[in-house]
Amino acid sequence: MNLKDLIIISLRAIASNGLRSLLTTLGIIIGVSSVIILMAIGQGAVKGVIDELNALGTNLIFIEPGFSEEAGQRGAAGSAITLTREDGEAIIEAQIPNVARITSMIDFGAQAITSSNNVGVQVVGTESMYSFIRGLGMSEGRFLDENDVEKKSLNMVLGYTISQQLFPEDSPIGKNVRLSIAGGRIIFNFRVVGVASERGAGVGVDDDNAVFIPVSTLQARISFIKNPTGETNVNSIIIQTLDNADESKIKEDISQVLIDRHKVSEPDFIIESQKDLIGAAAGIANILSLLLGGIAGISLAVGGIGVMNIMLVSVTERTREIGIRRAVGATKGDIIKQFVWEALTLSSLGGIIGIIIGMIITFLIDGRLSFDEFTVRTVIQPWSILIAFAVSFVIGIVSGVYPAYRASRLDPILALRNE
Amino acid sequence: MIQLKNIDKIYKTEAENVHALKSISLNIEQGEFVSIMGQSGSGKTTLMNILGCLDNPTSGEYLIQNSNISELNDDQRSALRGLLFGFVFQSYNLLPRLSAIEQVELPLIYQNVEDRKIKAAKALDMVGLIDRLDFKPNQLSGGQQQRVSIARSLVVEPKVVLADEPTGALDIKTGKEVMSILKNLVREKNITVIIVTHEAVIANFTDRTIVISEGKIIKDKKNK
Repeated sequence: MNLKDLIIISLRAIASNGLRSLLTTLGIIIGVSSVIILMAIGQGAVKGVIDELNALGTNLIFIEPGFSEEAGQRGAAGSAITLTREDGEAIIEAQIPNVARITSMIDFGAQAITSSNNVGVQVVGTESMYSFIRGLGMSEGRFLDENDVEKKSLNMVLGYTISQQLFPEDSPIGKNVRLSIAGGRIIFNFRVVGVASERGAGVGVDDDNAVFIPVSTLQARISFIKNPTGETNVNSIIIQTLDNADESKIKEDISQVLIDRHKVSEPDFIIESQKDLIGAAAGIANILSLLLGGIAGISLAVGGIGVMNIMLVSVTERTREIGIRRAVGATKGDIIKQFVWEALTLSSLGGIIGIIIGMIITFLIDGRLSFDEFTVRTVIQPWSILIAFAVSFVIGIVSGVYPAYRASRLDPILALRNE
Repeated sequence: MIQLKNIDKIYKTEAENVHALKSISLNIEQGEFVSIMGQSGSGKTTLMNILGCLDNPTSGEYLIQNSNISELNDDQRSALRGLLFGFVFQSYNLLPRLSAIEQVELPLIYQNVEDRKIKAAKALDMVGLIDRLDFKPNQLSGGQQQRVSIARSLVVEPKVVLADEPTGALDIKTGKEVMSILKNLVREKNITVIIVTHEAVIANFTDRTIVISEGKIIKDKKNK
């Protein structure tokens, strides 16, 4: 018996019981399409996280304060003031190879007030390199420069959305903005020198809803938050490396500089590269994706049981056919081939239809389905299609083998007598 | 051509052992037209199943062309069936979904034979159904269905055609037509035809009648 005959025989058997075949494959269709859809949603989440982290800039290393252990009490991470702008300067002076740019930053919430408007903003105290590292363009004026930081100037750059809200009609350049901190107990007057371009939401700082001021300005002017050493406290230092740099070597070198400078034995800071964060986030999202796929896989398994069930019924119904085939020379192997191939055809057809339906639904829900703030994005990975098809193929074989074995075991004499 | 030596067949059931064939010995030559007669339960169908390699004897020797085939395994018996034997059944045993020509092609599928359509059409022509190639069983009369099943048995160019009550479901007139087709096969193709029947009228069409009762041959005579 050759392959062509096998294909014809199985397609005929499937077609002769059209409705039953359709209902049987429906289980596989639903299973495969839900695997495709849920995996695509999971992978969409992975891509979303990676995109957000990439939107921070490229080749970044983040340093944040660790915890202090003064007087045997351990504070929360980030609670200790152990990181200063001067730490960043020291890293520059150490001339660590492959370090391209450094900026420090400190951020907090405040109210930005003009004569006619009052909006909540994220204040980012930072340095000139911030705009380069973040890839933040300017729509008007200029970003903060080294002079602003040195002189602790009262110049301010507005994020795009803030500028729209505070100055909906005319250019904000040269205008005054009052910054109200700590519930209005502290108020400073800033002069706008630039407006950043629009960039859309990202992780960490939402640049569109931020205002940028020199990192040193406020600490120099508010005595009770001043660092007693005269240095400027920051809550992160961002380092941009050259492309293809050995990040772990750079992290080691930076750690050594800071450990020496802080005169501690263990790091009192946390140092992580963007790739570490992406890896960790993608790892979590991938687990989520597999979990979703696994849940959908259960429905695929149920579909497979349906195929096996129908094949068993089919063998019983076709006892006489099996007897006739055996009488005219079919071997047990021929009978096994016939029934396995039939199950395989059923489940593979279901698999292909399921993949097509899954892809269509995946395409339709991409960006159109939202829960609160979260919009569902979908990414179809070629391997998820391969997996879905391979699983339906294997299900076909598995669910066909036992019924086929039963069919082949029928005694041809008894099978022929079967009325 | 066919030799049975002391063939016994015992069916084991839970209640008792049924001794269906008792020490049957038999020679059938190439080109003989033989009928096996007996009442139901006499063991004639069991004998036919053993002759057709559908079943193995419990003991004894079965020789076809002087080679012993009583201990072949299932796959070997399948292959032998396909090559040497054609089967005709009382209830035709056609597959309901297939057209006449496809029914006849069926044995060839399992032998990977080329030019199946041509061979099947020739076999249908031999039984006078060349104008019914695309008819399904439910579009054919009983006699026509039986002729399709004869064509199916012929398409592999068998040495032996075994027919189990080939006229059992047919009226006398069509039954005689079927018998004359079988008789012509013996004459023209030198095929050995063995039919199982309980009707003396039908048995008289053949050249030799073997009568079985309670698992034993009680008569073996040439017909005029």
